[in-house]
Amino acid sequence: MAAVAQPQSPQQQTLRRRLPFVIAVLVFTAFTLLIRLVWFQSPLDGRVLSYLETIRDANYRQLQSLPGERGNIYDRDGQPLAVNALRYEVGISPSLISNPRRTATQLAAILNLNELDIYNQAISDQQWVLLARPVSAEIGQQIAQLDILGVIVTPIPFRSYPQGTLGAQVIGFVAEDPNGLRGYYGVEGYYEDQLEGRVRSEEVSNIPLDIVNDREVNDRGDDLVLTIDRDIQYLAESELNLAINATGATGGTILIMDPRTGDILAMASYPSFDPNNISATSDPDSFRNPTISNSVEPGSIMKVVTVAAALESGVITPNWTYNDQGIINIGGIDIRNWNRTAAGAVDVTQVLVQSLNVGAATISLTMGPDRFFAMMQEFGFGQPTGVDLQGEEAGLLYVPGDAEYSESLLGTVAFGQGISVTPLQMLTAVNAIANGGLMMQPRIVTQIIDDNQVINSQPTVLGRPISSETAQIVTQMMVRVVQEGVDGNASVPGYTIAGKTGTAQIPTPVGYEENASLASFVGFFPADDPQVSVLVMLERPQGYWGSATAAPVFARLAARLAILLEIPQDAVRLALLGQGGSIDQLAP
Amino acid sequence: MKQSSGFWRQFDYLLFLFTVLLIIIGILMIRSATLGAIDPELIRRLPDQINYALIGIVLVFVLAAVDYRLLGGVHNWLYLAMVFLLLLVLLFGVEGDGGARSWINFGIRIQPAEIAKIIIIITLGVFFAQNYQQLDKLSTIVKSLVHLAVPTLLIFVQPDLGMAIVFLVLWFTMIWGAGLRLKHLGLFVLMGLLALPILWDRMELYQRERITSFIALSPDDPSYYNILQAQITIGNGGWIGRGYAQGPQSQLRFLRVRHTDFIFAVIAEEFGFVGGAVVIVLIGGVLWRVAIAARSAADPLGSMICYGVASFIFFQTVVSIGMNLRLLPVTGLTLPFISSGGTSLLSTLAGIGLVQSVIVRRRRLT
Repeated sequence: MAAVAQPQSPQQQTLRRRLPFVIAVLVFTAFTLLIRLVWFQSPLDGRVLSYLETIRDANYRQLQSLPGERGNIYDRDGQPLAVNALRYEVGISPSLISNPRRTATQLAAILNLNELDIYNQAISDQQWVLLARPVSAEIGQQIAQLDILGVIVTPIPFRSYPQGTLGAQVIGFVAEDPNGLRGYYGVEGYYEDQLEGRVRSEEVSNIPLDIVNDREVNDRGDDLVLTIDRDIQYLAESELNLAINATGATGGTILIMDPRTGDILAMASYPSFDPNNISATSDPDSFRNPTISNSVEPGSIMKVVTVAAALESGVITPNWTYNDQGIINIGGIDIRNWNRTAAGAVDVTQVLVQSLNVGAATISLTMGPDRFFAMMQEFGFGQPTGVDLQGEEAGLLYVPGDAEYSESLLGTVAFGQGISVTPLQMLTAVNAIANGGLMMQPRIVTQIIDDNQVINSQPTVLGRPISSETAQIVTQMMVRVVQEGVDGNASVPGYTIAGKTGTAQIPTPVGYEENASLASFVGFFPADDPQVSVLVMLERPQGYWGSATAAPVFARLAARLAILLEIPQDAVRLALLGQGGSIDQLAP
Repeated sequence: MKQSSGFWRQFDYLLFLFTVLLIIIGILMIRSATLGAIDPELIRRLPDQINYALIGIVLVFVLAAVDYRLLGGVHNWLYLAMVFLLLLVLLFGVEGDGGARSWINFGIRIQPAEIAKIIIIITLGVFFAQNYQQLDKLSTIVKSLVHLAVPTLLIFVQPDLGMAIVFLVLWFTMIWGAGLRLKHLGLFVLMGLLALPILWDRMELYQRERITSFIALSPDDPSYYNILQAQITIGNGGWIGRGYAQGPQSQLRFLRVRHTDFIFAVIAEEFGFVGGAVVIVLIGGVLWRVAIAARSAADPLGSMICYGVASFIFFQTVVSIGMNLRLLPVTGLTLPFISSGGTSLLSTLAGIGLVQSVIVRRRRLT
């Protein structure tokens, strides 16, 4: 080769001279890098380190709230009324989706969404896009089975009411709030603290490979067992709907209780709502439970309480009579009978049988305001019963000393005007008569089940407004009301029914509504050993009178209740009692 | 075949060994960095790197066999081809990872600036070899600057600042090796300092951010995350590392751009200080062999080529590792031999091929 023998050019000599310098730079740089590499191994400055740890922790771990599952709600026989179910949320991570076109086609078909919209979201720069929430378990499963990378199906808990609309106003509903699910109204609202799963904050790993251990459900909320009987509740609701359809009433309530314990067996009001689809309910007032939240003027059914109060205080005896002239003036107000006639000389029983307003007012007048209103308070009017349901109202009872009190109230309250009560207050008071004078605290929950511990709620006495003798006398009078009075429609063959109708006018801010009534019937049976009490109220029915509208509803209910509650006919039961047996031997 | 046997006798096997070792380390680390990747672009990185490495090794032998003086003979054509390619980028370029339009898609994507890097070494080498006697004249230096400025500006407007700086470094090392006077050196340093504000003004936003984030690291900075993660990653490696494909930082994707910009951090995490040092020492070994070649080259052109190749390998190594070690701002320059990137690997290996060509034809008596 030609180049081999060439002597070095001056330029190359320059190069050679400068080479050591080049190497020095090289070595120096290499050492700089190596020293820096070593320096990186040393612990960092404390402040920097803690700062880096914050960043690291933000990356590796995060604090997550893990709400426990909500407790279930069962009826008295263990039928589920409210349970938890899962729905799903579908989102996508666009960066992970390899085939946006096909993914969009598949998802659009299942989710019933616009394919182009999904496609545009699948190719966007966002980390995560929400496609649909909530979707049903079936759709969630279908999408999960596609197993497309980047399509994320997240379960979201929701409350399911397997009985549909049954008992909606008693149970209440659950809605999502920022902290998870929260109960509103009814049992869901009242027992929110017990039902709600305990929220536990826990550090969870963000590292995708970290195994998430399945947590035990020990943070679950308590289960509740209600006094409600699903079958009786169904009976009450269907009878109520029948009555509404038959009479064209604008609203109504059926309340069925066990007077011996205060257990609410059924509580139905119209209109109601669908707890599985609360967003369909436009009027939030529909969520209120009229049985405890609506105060109404009860009308003549109040007369049984007036009579019981008067008998108890001793101002009258069962044989007390008066001369009914068809009108009485109390506090400047004329009080007349419903049929505007004078009944003449009648006794206490006839006051109830003929539902004489004048008679009731005469009795309360005899008692005087102090004793009368004190007794009304004894029966619980004007204050909430304390039932374990959310949204209970106290009703209105003006007593002497209140600014709103006027003398005429002494006369009108006696037959159920000028006082407002909730249906539950009304039946609770009547229950005192049915239960030998002991007024039981109405209740809706019998058991709270916390893990494996069962807490039984005991029936509680609210008070004893009257003695058992008084209770028996009034009950006998109520039996005669059904047997002899205008309330014959309430009779049930084979059973002795104690009851009373009411036909109240509906008050407005100015006087009373024309041709509209609150028709009601309150009753219990068997009269000698009451096991069940019923209050039926219909708002503005065609037919106007409680005896014509509410009493037949009671009769149908009572006939069915006798079967559902296995109450033998009086003849059978009394024969058994006569032989020294008891009805308990009949129950399986 | 006398020449053939001479070729195999003169070929620098030590240099070749260092080269191959570095390529293997690179392939292993790209595999580790893209393990479990689901992005098809990332999955392709490993087979691509292997293919380019094989092509590159063939290229080393081909270029070693071709007399570099033949290439020097056609330097005008090479220069024209280079300018043509760079103009094509301006007209038909596509965006790469960094946001610069520095790629052309000919079915396979190539980065013409990498090819230009090798060509400029040859053409500048020829220029300095021909003009070294006039190197004390400022006009010669200005001519060489014009020679350099055409491709450098074309690259700067892409904008690929890192590569433009590589070109400046190439020019500077080569002219200094060719015998630049110290007073001229001082002049250029002064000019360079004066040009800095203008350069800053012309830089893209992301380029400025890279520099500001280096000077004062602020959490609002987009590079903040990457830089801190790289530091955690390297610190995590300790002295001997977490083991191959066992680095939590890189395997769990906390470290980003693992296969290119921050591949050194992956090496340091999985093989520790030892691994990092081995890479530095191996590249140092390559530079040592190339420097020896520059000393023993048969003619000035050979020396200039060796100088050029050594300077870009050195500069890119220092910048890339320095960036991982938070010594230098983030630039996106690749770590020679190791970072994923086809054209970059090929141009580095083409440089090694040229050096082998110089070595094979060196003066025998040294």
